[in-house]
Amino acid sequence: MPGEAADVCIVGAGPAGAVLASKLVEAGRSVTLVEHGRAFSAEERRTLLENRRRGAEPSSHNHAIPEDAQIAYNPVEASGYTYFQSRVPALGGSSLHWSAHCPRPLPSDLRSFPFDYTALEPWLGRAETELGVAGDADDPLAAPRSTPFPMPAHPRSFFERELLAPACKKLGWALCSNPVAIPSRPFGERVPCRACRLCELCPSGARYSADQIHIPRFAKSANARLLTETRVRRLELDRTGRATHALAVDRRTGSALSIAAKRFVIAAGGVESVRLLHLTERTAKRPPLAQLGKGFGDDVMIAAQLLAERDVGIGLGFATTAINHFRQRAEGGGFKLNAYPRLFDRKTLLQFVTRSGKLAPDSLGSDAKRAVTLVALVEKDRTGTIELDPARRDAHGDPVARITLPFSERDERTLDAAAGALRELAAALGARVLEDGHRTALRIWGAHPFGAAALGRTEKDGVCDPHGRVFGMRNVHVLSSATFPGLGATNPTLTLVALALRMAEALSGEKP
Amino acid sequence: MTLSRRALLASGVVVAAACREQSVPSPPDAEAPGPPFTQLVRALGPWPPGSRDSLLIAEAFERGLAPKPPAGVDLASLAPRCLASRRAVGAVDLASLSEPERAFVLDFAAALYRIPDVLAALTGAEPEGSCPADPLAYTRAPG
Repeated sequence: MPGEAADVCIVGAGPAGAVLASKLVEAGRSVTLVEHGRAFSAEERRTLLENRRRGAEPSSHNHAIPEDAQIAYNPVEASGYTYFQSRVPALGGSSLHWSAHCPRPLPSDLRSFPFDYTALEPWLGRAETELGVAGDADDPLAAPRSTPFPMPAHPRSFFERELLAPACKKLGWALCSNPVAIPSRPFGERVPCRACRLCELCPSGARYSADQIHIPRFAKSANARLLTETRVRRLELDRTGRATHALAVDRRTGSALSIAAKRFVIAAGGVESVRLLHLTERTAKRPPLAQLGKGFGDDVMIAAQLLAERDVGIGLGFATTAINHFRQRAEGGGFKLNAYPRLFDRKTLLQFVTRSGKLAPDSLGSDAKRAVTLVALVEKDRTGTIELDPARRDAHGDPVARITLPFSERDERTLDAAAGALRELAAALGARVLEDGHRTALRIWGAHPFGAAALGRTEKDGVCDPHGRVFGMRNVHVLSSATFPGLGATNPTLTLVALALRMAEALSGEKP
Repeated sequence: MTLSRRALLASGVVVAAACREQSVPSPPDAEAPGPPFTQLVRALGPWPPGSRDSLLIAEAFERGLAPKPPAGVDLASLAPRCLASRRAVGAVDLASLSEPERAFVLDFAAALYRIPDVLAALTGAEPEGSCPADPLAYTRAPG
């Protein structure tokens, strides 16, 4: 196959690109899947786990990737934006270390999309099956489902059942299942969760990771061509706006590559997808896309640290429950809450227990057993931009992404409301607030960038049409949270995989 | 000179009392305290100060994400004082440290307790990252 034009070239082998690639080769299409990073072996994952348990390095996928293989960017006016700390530039992308939360969007979350929940609903059900999602349909805010969850939710922890549920009842907030792509029973080639409580490195292999599920399915096809450690620098467009080649570089040898295909799908994440479109557009002989790089947003996460009155027990590595009570706020800016019977921030607890001037490790254990972390995932306004940086360039001489992401007045009101909700919940739990997470280092960026190549009905209000095809580029699609005009406080992966499945069906149905 | 058992115990009490009052380093003993980094891990970790577990963790942690002392904090001076205090009174006397030393000790301890095997030793729970025999243990009441 090398040398021939594939039916489809997909740039980016995270969960969206991997699912699309796997489905297209199943349908008989030839696909070239190009990934900037490398693959992680099972042995490397075991080493990372051993290191993590003992405090050695490297102890995460990101720490095992040298700096020159990371993706450069320049955050300005962005309050210390840490997007690329949450990305894994490797085969499987961020699904290598994600927490696997897979909630469906509420109908109101899709208010700015060019289609409604009803149109997306069947694809969400299929996406739950592809990812192996465990959950219960017990959210009073959720829209109707046409299919049940592939498997039931994980049993609640002692903390969720005996402390959190009564606290929520007292407040009148529904505590519902938090769907996760972690099987609660055997599911295909995957084992059920073994409760190892270190999901980032999932020792059992239960949690969905694209490099373990869809990449192998793709790679075994005769129609598949997988290029790792290959950086796509831009797409080459002809005079009609049709892409003919991806201009790339083999990062191991430095040699240039030209990858031909009949269609191109950019699935390189919420920032890099936008950068690649910018790099493509600036050499094209067409008017610039007016909306490209505008309307960038992300979730913000704030975490409060509590000390309960009693031993709260242990939890899983993920929350099996969520509180969606604040997802639909009148002015927008919704948020959802999760609670964990464990510490996120050790220093807060240490500062509290050492206020007498003594640090006594022998008595610290009883305090650590009472620690609780409350997390609010907060929808942020689309006030940011992604442009090409005029000064900074990557190792290949291309401008890096220049990111702005200022807080709006509404953002500040939303964060106040979220911090207030965390305090209310702490009071209902009868717990002392050690740190409310608001306006502190614990107010951190989530990992859900969106919006800078948004779907729209016309080029005036978006970069891509409702099917993800770039306006004015006849055979270029974007499959990324960059196309989301908003998503509330919903973790985006399930919605993204739903769109991958929809795109797979559309591209499979085309005449070769 | 041979001291009686009672005299040895009495001298221990005197040394412990002196440590409480002055936080002076205790003299080298049979359990070699190791280099300063190891001494600090032993002083702050959830094991008895002479534990072999602390040595294994110290070795990995020093090559890992352990915070480095900032300018103005001398690990070679700080670590023995912390270890002596821990051995004498079971706690590190933060009040006797300078402000930069105190801040560094808290940073160091926070990083140490981020290690799953250390946290497990602290709480008595199964370490994060090891798959328990009973996957539903998390649903049961603690203790």
